[in-house]
Amino acid sequence: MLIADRISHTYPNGVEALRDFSLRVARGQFVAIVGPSGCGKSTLLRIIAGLIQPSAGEVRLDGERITQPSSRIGVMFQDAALLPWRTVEQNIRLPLELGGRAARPVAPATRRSLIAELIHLVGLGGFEQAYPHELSGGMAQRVALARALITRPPVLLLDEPFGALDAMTRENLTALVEGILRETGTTAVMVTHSIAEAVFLADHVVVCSPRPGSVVGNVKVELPRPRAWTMESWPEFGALVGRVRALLTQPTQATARAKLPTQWP
Amino acid sequence: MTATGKSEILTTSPRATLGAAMARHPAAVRLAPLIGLTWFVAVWHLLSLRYPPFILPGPASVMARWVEKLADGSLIAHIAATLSAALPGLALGALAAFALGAPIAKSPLAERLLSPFIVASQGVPFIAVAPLLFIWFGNGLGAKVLICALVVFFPITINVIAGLRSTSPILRDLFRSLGATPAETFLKLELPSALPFIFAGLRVGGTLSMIGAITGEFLSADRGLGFMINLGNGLYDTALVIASVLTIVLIALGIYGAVRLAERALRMARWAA
Repeated sequence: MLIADRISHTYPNGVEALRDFSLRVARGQFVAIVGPSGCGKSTLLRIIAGLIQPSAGEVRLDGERITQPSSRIGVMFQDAALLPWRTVEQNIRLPLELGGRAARPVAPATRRSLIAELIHLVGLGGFEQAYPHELSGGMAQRVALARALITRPPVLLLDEPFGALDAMTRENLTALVEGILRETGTTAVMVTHSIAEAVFLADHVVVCSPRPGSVVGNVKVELPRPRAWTMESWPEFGALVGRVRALLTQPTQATARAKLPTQWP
Repeated sequence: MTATGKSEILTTSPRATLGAAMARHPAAVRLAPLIGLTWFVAVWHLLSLRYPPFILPGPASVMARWVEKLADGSLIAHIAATLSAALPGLALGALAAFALGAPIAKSPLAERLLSPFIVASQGVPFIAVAPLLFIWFGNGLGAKVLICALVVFFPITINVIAGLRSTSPILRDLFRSLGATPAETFLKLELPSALPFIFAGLRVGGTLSMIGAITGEFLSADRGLGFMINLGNGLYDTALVIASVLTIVLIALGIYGAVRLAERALRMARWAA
C-alpha cells in the first residue's frame, strides 16, 4: 500500500503547490492523477519519489516512511532523460551501476539476459547499440521504461511520460505500459493531462483542483483488463471520460470567472 | 541530449557546414586555403622586393633560414626547450583550473571565496609580473612553467565551471531518484556532460601556453624559440625572427589539433560509458 497522507507543499518562493493532498494506492493498482496544468501534480510525484520533502504530511510505502529516493520506487520522467553518450543498452543498465550497486554487481550473465529480456519486452530489438539521438521520441520513452523496470521496483511513478508524443505512438506505448504493469503486478501512479489516457490505464482516476492542488474527486474505472484502445468507443469509456471531465471543468471555470476583471480597462 | 547538442555545435558543425559548401562548389572551396596561402606568399614576396632584407626578408630567404636552422639541429633544440616549458605549464594550469573550477561549480561558498581571485588572475598583466616570478623562482624552467600555467589557467577554469554547471536538471533528478552517490553523479553525469566545454578550454589554453612560454623566454633564457626571436632581433636577422614566429604558429596549431584528436579519440572510446 502506497499512502500519501495530507501532503501540503509550499515552495520557498511562496507558491503553494499542494494543500492536504491524500492518496491511497493498493498494491498492484494503477492510479492516474489528472488536473489543470500547474495544479501541483508533478510536485506530488516528486514528493512520492522522495526527490523533495513536503512542507507537511508524509508518504508511506508499506508502512515505511519515504523521505529520500528509494530503490523500491522507479520514476519515468516527462523527458526520456537518457544519457546522450550512452547506447540504448548502456542507458538501460545505468540503475544497476548507481547507488553503490557497482560494489555488489549483478552477475554479468544475469545482467545481459535481463537487459536482452527488457529490450525484447519494450520492442527495441535491433537498437541495442543505437544512441539516443538516433531514436524517435517514442523509442526513447521505451528505453526509459526498460531502464525504470530493470531494478524491478514494486512502485513506478510516471510523470506525463507520453505528453510529447504523437497520438499513434501514445496509444502504442500506453498499451505496452498497461500490459507490462499488469504482468509484473507493479503499483503505479501516473500524472497526465489526457483524460482518455488516464481512463485507459487506471483503476482509479484522481482529479486534482487548480493550485494549490487537492483532491476534487475519484473516479473508479472498472473496464476489463487487458485494455485495448478499441474500448475507447465503448459507452462505458465515454461515460468515465465524461465524469472525469465534469469534475475537472467545474473548479477551473469557477477560477476563470473569478479571475476576469469586472470592468475591462 | 543537451550535452551532445552542445558538443556538436562546438566540434562537428563547422565541418558539416564546410561539407555542405563543398557539395555546392567542390573544387573552389577545397582549394580555398591553398589559394589564400598562395596569395599571402605572393604579396609578401612582392612587398619584400621593395625593402632591404633586415626590414622585410622575402619568403624564400625566410624558408632558407628555416631549413638551415633545421639542418644544424638548433631549431629542434629550441622547439624542445620551448615545449618543455609550454606543455608542463599547460598541464599545471589545467590541473589548477580543475582543482579550483570543480569546487566553484559545486559550492556557492567556494564560489564566493575563490571567484574574485580567478577573475583577478585574468586581470594580472603577466608580462609585467613575469620578472617577479624569475626573482622568486630563479631563471630556470620553473618560472617559465609557472608563467604558462598562469596564462592558460583562466580560459580553462571558466570552461570547467560552465561545463560542470551544464548538467541537465532532469538528468540530475534521474540520478537522485536512482540513489546515485555524489561520486557516481560526478563521474557518470557531470564530468561527461562537461567534457565538450573542458576540451574547448584546453584548445584555447593549449595555444595560449605557447605565448606564455615565449614570454618567459623573452625575459630570461639562453634557449627556446623566444630566445631565438630575441637573438634574431639583436642581430637584425629578420629572416630568423620571422622563421621563429612561423614555427611558433605551427606548433600552436599542432597543439590545437592534438587536443581535437584527443577529444575525438575519447568520444570514440566511449569513455563516459
